[in-house]
Amino acid sequence: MLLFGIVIDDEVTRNKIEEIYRVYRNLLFYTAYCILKDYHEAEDVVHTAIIKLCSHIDKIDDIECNKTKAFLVIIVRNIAINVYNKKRRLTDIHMEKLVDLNDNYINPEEYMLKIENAEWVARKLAQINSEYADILVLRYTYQFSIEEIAYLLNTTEGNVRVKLHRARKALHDIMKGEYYEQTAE
Amino acid sequence: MNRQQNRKNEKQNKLLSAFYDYIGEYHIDNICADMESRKDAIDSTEVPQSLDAWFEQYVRGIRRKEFRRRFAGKVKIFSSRAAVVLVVLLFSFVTLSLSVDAIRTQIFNLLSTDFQKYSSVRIEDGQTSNVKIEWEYYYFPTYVPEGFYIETVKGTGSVKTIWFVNGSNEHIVFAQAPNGVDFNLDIEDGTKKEVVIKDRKAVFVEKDKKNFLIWNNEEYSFSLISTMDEEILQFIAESLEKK
Repeated sequence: MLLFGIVIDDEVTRNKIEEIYRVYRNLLFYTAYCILKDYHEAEDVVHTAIIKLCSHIDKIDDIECNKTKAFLVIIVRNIAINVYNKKRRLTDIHMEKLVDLNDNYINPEEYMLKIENAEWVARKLAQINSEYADILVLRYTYQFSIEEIAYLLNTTEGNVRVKLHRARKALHDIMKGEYYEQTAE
Repeated sequence: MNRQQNRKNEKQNKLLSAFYDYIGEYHIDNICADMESRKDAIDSTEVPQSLDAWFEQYVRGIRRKEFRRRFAGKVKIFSSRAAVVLVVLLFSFVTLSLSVDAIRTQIFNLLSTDFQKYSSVRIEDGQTSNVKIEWEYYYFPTYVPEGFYIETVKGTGSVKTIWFVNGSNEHIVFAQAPNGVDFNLDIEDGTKKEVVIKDRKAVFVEKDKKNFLIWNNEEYSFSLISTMDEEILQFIAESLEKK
């Protein structure tokens, strides 16, 4: 009876991971390969993403919903970008003085007036830098902590903080109409 | 003033967080739309077999690890419950032993009785002696105290007697005769006591530093004479076997 209970519990978790892999294996590999253009590196990135994912499997309820799909793409994409940057000896984002954006930088109430343009704003932010949009989503939509994001994206907490700061700053610039025609890295 | 400013910042932060969340939802939709537009390319992507093999192996690893972890957890819970039951049982046992006089006495007797001397004295016929018993029909004790061996056997009429001796020259004299034959034992003025041997009444007599045990079964009467304790004589008497 004891052993039976253990097997049942274990199977629920295992089936979830297997189901995610079965549904999204092509998407995961494709996303990594599009960035790295290397089969082995893309494979390694998918390995890493699955390992990271397993530790947060409880946060995934519906496997085939858009939220899960986007979450997987964001994880794989960002791990792949990190690998890409390291390969080209690009250093992590240098630390900069984090300006308090809330401190009279822009009135948040003004955001609400432009809320009907949210889709366009999201697209614009992703155009400026997809990593910014991704990190903003992980923090505010998926409600992950800085520590959890750093673990999922295989990076440091400092790096996450800087990117988050830049994402917010870019978003403020867009909202102020100061967006710049910069392609994503 | 400062507190008011903090509250204002707090409210603005909530508003901003909600706004970021809202933008995030659109970003998710945009990602999904983007991936949907690349559906054909994604579906036609050849995933390396080595990736599938790695995944299968990884899942097996997770299963083993999870199984071990959960098993250890359940064993821990089970053992803690078992420990509680044991403690309760032990507590009940101690309470019972301390509160009920009869049980306390039995436990005391159990703990104070030395079984070692009984269990260590088993001897086989002729194990420690060259004396051979050639009677056809007789009773013989399967237990005698350690170190004792047959010194002499003697048959006088219907009475058969076996003398056991040890290195300290202590003797145990065991006599047997069919019921109705008289034993001549000098037990006058001795301290008599009634005991039970194999569910039959027997007499234990203490006289001049010697102990006598007299009893019988359906066909024979027996006597044991020795300086050994009453308990040892009783134990020898209980161990009789017909040869």
